[in-house]
Amino acid sequence: MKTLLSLLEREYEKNGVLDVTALEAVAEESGMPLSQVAGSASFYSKFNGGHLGSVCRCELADEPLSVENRRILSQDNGYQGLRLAVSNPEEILGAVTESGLRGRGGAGFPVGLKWKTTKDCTCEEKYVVINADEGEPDTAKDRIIMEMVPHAVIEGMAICGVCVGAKKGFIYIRAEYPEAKRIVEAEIARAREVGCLGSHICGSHFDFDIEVVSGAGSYVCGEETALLSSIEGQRGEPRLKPPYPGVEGLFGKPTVVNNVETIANVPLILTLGAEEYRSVGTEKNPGTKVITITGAERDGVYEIELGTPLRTILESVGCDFDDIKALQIGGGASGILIGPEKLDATLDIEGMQSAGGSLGAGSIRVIHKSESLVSLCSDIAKFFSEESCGKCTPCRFTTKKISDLLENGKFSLSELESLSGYLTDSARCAFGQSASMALLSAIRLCPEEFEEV
Amino acid sequence: MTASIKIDGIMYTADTNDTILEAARKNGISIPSLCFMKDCNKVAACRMCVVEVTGMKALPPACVTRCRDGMEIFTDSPRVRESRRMTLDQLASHHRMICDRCSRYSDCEFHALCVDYGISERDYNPYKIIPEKDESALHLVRDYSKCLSCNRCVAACHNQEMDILSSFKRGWEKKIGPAKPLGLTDCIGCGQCVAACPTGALSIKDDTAELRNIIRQRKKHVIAILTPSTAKAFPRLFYEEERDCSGKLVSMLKKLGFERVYSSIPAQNDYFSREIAMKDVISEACPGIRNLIEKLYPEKKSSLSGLGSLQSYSARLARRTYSAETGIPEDDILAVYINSCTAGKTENEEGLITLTTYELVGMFRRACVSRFTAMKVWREQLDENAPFDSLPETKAVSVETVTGTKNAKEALKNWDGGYLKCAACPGGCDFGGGSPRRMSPDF
Repeated sequence: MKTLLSLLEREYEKNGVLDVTALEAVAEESGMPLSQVAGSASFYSKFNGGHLGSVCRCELADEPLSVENRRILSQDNGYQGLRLAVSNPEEILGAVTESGLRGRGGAGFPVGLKWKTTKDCTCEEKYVVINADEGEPDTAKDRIIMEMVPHAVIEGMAICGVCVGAKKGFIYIRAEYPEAKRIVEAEIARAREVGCLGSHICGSHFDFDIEVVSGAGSYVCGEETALLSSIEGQRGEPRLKPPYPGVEGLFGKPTVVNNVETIANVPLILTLGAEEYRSVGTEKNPGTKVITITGAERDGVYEIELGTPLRTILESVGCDFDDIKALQIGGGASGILIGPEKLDATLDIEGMQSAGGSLGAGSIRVIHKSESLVSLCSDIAKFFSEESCGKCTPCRFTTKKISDLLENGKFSLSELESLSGYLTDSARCAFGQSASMALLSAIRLCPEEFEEV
Repeated sequence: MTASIKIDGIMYTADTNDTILEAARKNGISIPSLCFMKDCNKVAACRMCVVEVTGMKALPPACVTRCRDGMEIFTDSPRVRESRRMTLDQLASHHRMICDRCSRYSDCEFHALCVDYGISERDYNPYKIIPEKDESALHLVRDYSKCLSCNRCVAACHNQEMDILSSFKRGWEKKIGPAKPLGLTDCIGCGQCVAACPTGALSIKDDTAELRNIIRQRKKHVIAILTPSTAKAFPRLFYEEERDCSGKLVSMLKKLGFERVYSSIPAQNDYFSREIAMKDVISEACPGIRNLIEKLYPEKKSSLSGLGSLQSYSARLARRTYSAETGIPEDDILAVYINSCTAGKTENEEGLITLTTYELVGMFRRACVSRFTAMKVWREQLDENAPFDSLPETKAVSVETVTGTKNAKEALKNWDGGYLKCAACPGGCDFGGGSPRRMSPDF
């Protein structure tokens, strides 16, 4: 079965544009109504002028941090975890639950619980979907993981498939990562060759195979339900929850949706054992975290132990503590700004929450004193107004309005606050609700910058 | 399971399968909504129905949030009102507010909400809105500059399994419409999207101006054929209860300048008895179904009865009758077929105008200067029992009808002979796209 996105891409590559004739051909081939095909095609920036999102150029840091504890990024490609999994399939869930692994995509949901929901569904057809639509500016960790240890992602998916009873997995990789896609596809081919994917994986009675789906330039598709819609060939608009994907996900079937980093942790849990896995990190946040650091002397992607204080991390990447206006944690768009007085907070879910922020995608951006928060927020607002799916009223228009106000410099603090508050209160999905997080936190930190510009 | 919930300080019992909106409306508490359409459109996109629930951080939409035991709901708190006001303000800033020239002037849901929430023209911060209209179809006009992106038309079209409409682009540039100009699509003209639209973004192609000109300038002799669907729909606008108002309608139509008013029933009986007498045919009565067959099932075209649509058949019969009665040549007679059908407008036949009930309401209003005088005339002065002019009498026939395009498609696929009659609109002609807008809160 070909996904609508791949059909559209093929037609687009042919002519460099998608006209009605091309869309009609795709509609015919996919059996979908023309309006749906055309509506989906018009949703993605790739097919509409070809402008793709920004890519964070950070690479894996050469010099490890003093706090570095590379585990995820140093896994070998022997598929040992998968072999253990197929020989003891009933113990997978227990190990994952016991490991205390929490989702690394932003919400921090316990992975064991998520898998159990899907495992408990009696439905024959189930799916494993990996979210590799890393759209947050200033984050590169998923790309680095896919490029360095693609086998860990594939192995994790197969283990998940064996555990919950899914036979098919999808990796949704954003269009901006062609190199990562190539590497992952090559590794999938290799895994099939060595018998770790396909039918009777590792000589067992389990079948599991993976298809790579390429995104087409849309930030909101990083939201799990929007991502599922996108794979199905609909517009990448977030769905209403409940029903949650674990029960009713891809094509209406129970689906585990995990982030790249989350799934890359899974083989480790099986090879090390839950107890050994927990020896790193904190009680509530076991394991390591791959983070992206920008704005410091040695920018790059690092793997650190969860629970490390921000100060320790920033010290080792070379950061002038006297020149910090704010830190943006969790992504260059939806990340919340926290002040330099919060440097002693620990980098984990609860630590960041108590500092007024959120761990999110786990990136740290150092904002220097010379930088203007208004122009930073203006860039972020512009990003959101261009990326909003447009489904609900608050997000469709308010992101645009905030962006226009900040760009023109004609605004009052109260107007910005009321628009942002409205967006957070009434938007339909996490995208809209987080669209004004950075702005609201910036106003809290430095209200004077937003007064009388 | 039942749940006890508290709405605005008062305890109620609700079903846990009910949404907050359903529970509130069952208890007579009004929560405004725009995008919600019962059993059809539950997308929670417009955010008009947001409420405040104790313990929830954001404001959940009442249309999709289910009741839970112990829930405390505020439907009209300052925070809720402010959010709804902002929503309307944002929509108004991107809506071409030309209310006085809009086809929906008298019954626009959006305008009514703006009034309720005090969004006055002064407060808009309008973006420059470029008028953009699609007038390529014969039966309706799509005005993009008035669209609220509520998705109701898309849902109505999907409900018909036609899927002509979809969302396009994203963010503030998002718009809803067909993939190509409407006149070039497979649209069959059922008009369910028009009936679903809360504003004037979708409107029936207006034939009243042309008709008024013809009547005023006495270009032709104008006669009317009145259908039961209009006679049934009309009283709902003026009376609380259902009642037979065809007598009043006849005298009112004559007041507008129609020389004769015929009931469609004799022509209808004649039409169907002829069709039934044929062997293995698909009824051609519904113009929407004929369009469907022509566009999607061309191989079945030869199985159509060949009588033309019911409206054109009735019009021919009425013109012949009137001509025989008065000696006026048939070419000088214009028949106006009045029902709730928008698909009829796609026929474009000489000597026939299809007028929808919705347009007729507008005609009455304009003819009598204002809504209030129209009401007065309607209620007090008109002859309650004005008789129809008569067409040749025929024996009554009853035929079973498959209603709704979704069901019609199924029936057409499975058809292997016999007589098949389908109607494009779900529920039949009474629920045509040109019926007066359903303003019930559940819509």
